[in-house]
Amino acid sequence: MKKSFVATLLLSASFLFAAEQNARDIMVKVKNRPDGDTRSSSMEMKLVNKNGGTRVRKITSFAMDVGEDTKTIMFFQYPNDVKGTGFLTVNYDDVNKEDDKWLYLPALKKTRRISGKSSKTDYFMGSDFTYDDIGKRNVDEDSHKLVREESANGFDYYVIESTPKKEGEIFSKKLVWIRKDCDVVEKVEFYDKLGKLHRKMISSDIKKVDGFWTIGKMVMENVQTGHSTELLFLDPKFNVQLDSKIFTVNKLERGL
Amino acid sequence: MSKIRINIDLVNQKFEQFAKYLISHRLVFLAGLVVLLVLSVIGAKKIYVETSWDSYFVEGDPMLVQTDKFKELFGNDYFVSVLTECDDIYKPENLRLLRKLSEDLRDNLSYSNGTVTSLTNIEYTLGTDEGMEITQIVPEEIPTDEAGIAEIKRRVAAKPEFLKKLVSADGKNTFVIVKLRPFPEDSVWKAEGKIAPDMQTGAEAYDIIHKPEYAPLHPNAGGMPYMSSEKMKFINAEMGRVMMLAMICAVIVMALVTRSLRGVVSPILSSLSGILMTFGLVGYLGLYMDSTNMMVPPFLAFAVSIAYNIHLYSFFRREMLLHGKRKDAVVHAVRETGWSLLFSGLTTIVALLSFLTVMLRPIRSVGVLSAISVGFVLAVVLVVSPILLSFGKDKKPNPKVLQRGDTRMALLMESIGKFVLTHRGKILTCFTIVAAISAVGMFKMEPSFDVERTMGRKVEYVSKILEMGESPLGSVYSYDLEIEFPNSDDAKKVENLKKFDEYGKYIESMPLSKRLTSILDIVKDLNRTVNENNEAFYRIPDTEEQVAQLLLLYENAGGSESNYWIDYDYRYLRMMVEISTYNSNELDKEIAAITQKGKEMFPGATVSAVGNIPQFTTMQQYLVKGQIRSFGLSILIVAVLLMVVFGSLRTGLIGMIPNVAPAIFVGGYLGWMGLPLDMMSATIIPMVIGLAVDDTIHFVNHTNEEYERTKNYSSAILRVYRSTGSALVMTTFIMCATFGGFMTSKCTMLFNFGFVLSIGLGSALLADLLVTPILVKKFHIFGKEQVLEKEK
Repeated sequence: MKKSFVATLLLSASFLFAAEQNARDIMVKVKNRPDGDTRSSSMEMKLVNKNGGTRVRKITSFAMDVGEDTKTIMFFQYPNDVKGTGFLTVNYDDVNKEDDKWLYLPALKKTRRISGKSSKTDYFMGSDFTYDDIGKRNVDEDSHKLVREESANGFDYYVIESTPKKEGEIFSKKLVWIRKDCDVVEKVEFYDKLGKLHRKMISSDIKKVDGFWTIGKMVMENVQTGHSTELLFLDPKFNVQLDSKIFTVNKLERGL
Repeated sequence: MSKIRINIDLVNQKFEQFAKYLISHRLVFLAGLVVLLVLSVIGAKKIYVETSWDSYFVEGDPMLVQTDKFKELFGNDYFVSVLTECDDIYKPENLRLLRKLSEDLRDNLSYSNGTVTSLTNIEYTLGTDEGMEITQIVPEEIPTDEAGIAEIKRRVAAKPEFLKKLVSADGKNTFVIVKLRPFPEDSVWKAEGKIAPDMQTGAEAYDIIHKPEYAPLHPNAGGMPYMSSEKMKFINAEMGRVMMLAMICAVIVMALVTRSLRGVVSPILSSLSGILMTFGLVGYLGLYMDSTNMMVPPFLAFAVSIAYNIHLYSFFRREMLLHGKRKDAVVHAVRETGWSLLFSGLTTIVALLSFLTVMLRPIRSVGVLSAISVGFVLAVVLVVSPILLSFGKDKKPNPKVLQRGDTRMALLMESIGKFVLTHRGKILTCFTIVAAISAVGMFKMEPSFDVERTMGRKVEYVSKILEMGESPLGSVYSYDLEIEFPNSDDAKKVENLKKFDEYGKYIESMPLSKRLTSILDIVKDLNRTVNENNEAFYRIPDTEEQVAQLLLLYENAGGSESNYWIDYDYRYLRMMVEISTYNSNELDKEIAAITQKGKEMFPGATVSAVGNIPQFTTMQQYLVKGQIRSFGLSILIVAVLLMVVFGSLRTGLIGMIPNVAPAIFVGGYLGWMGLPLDMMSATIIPMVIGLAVDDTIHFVNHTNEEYERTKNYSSAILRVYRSTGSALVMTTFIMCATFGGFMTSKCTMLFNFGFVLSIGLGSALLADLLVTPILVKKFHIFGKEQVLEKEK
């Protein structure tokens, strides 16, 4: 009796471990989904507050993968008072290595290297997306659990629950809906410390461009404040011919 | 006019029939009471008590609309602040503890917005030769060596504004602030059965700062949620204590006066039933109830219940002593007192409902809830008390009473009556002089809501909060200035920002201003940072593009504070002004001058003050206006009722004299003694009118009856002294003993309420015993005397 109890316990534990392992594998697959070595796109960011007030920003961006790391350069095109402002980043896959960031402010004619602690959980450009949401959060920063598999709108999904391993994150858990056919995250629900829904992200206009699965639109809504952010990725291009020299401070100051 | 006078004899007959019916169906009525009480207990569980100052305004009030709009633009203006005090915060162990406390607050306050501002947890942008470093004043790894500590001090010194906000120059105090997420709508958390978000936040802050591990930092919390939660805790404990004390006092006095178990049980049963039924109704209907003055309706119910029962009981007892037949005594008591009780209850209810003219919900709520509880108490006294008195055996008549002709007390009252009737001139002169002096004092009354004057320093939490406000870093009160420009993007124009900076300097020069916060802090700091930390650049940049790009840089570096100070369309600017002390009148003048200056500096823009302090100012104005309105209205309605019931304009007006007088005495006392008009004291005057009129009604009603019998004023008056006088004295005495319970409170507002209300009730009794009979006789209010003194 005792033996069979222990065996059941071990079996359950191994199933649990396998389930966790499976969920992690899915998340790794999502992270490693092919997106070319280089990319370019125009991005329109629309911030909408509870009262319906909007702020629109237009950005042109170029990115290049260097091994596991990614270099990105972005230029603001709109509104006019920030036009020409550039942002250069080198995003390291190693969580222990600090990202490199430079910012060029044309009105002050100054390029500033931004160093030191800057949290990836900070919101990006006043939007509802954190740097983690739009970047690639390291899979092992969270524990993953496959909650269920479901079908909707003609697609099959994995629903994975991810819980941060460290304290001090802005969410206590998130539920992620992953489309099985293309490994694209279609929906995420972020829950706060009280376990209440805090933000909700929906991706749409998911299609293949140049042979790569790509998202055309992402909307993040903070359901508690009523603030939302819409990101439109216009004219995405993959494996474009990019000179690595454009990812330099010199280029940042000269502009597009 | 006399033709429409109510036929008292007929009314009394109806009450007699009612009493007989009650006694014959007494078990059915008692069963009905039990059912009602059970239902009330269920309803009472649904009660929610309001504590937030925001809830004081009635829906649609312009101040509320403005506050709501402000919150929509800039988010939750509530925060939790903590002031710490230790010998040297720069000691590594203290820094470690401060960081732990800061993170505890950030992570464990349910409504924290996820950021904390403190010496150990503030993002610090440092300008360097090649760029800018986003770092912290205190590194992740807290240094233990001298060099490391010296670097922390150097960083603090590099930004002098930090010394104003985060840490004191001597390193003994630090200030921690946690901003809060917008609170959910009331319907959301109520549906979930949770406590109000501000209460929850305040209670959580209390638990955190009182953890033993933080004791070396002596943390003391502030901010509206904390203050509200502490107030609620204090009021709850105090209410229980004062209520219990009042009950004990009243029971002792009632036992002494009535010398009967039933004489004690009846008032307690009817008051508890009335209170419970009121709470049940509040729960079922979701009526508004505020923590500040929620004690008033139960106390009032208790007081009137005793008064009504004493009137009933004194007639019952007198009859029992005279003939000993219990049921007959009950029927007689109901016949003689029923109409007076019903009518006096109705006038009290009407006087209380005059609070509805005040545009503040706690005052309205006191009026409505007190009126409901008086109504329930009245019903229980008229229905249940006679039934309780009817149980038991008949007794033998008391031979001593039969021999004397009446009780000792009744005979004493009669001799007072004789004294009054023979000293009419002197009494009226004294009365007029005191009333005139009081009337002058009434004009000196001033409203005040500040915690020191209303609650007083003897209350522990108040003393702690005030200490915090008086320290160099901490602050208790703040208000916001909002500038609305005509067009979007105007708020980030350099010319407007420069004017805003000038405006800030003007505000800072005002005596009560302690500290300012606005978008300028962020813009100036970033301008200095991108210019290699050169202090000369701690100013507004030269072009609009520079401002826009600095704000973008700020957002890009993860800054989210700018939305607290400038709105989405760049049309509104906000400046938070923390103040050192709160003196209502001085501050009102200061804010008026500041807004005026703002209007001059920003022509075309709208400059307004919002937040708790301007709310207080508006409330004070409402309170003064409402006080005058409810005073006037209660007098008017009570006078009309007296006129209708006594069937004479003259009787109604004369009857008002002994009722207006106590109100004037109370107002005069408040004014001459410099006691503030607050949420409690503002309710005293209409309440005194409502209670005082009971004595007048009993006195005039019984005089009317006796006059019909004797046709002579002096005889009628002396008979009333004998039959009713002792009940009037006893009820006032017991009510004063009940409200006297408030006088044991350390809280100024509660003490004043008990003391001043007792003065009001005492003066009402004196007016009815000393002045009413003189007026009745002087003005022949029931017609020309038919049996003259000589004939008598």
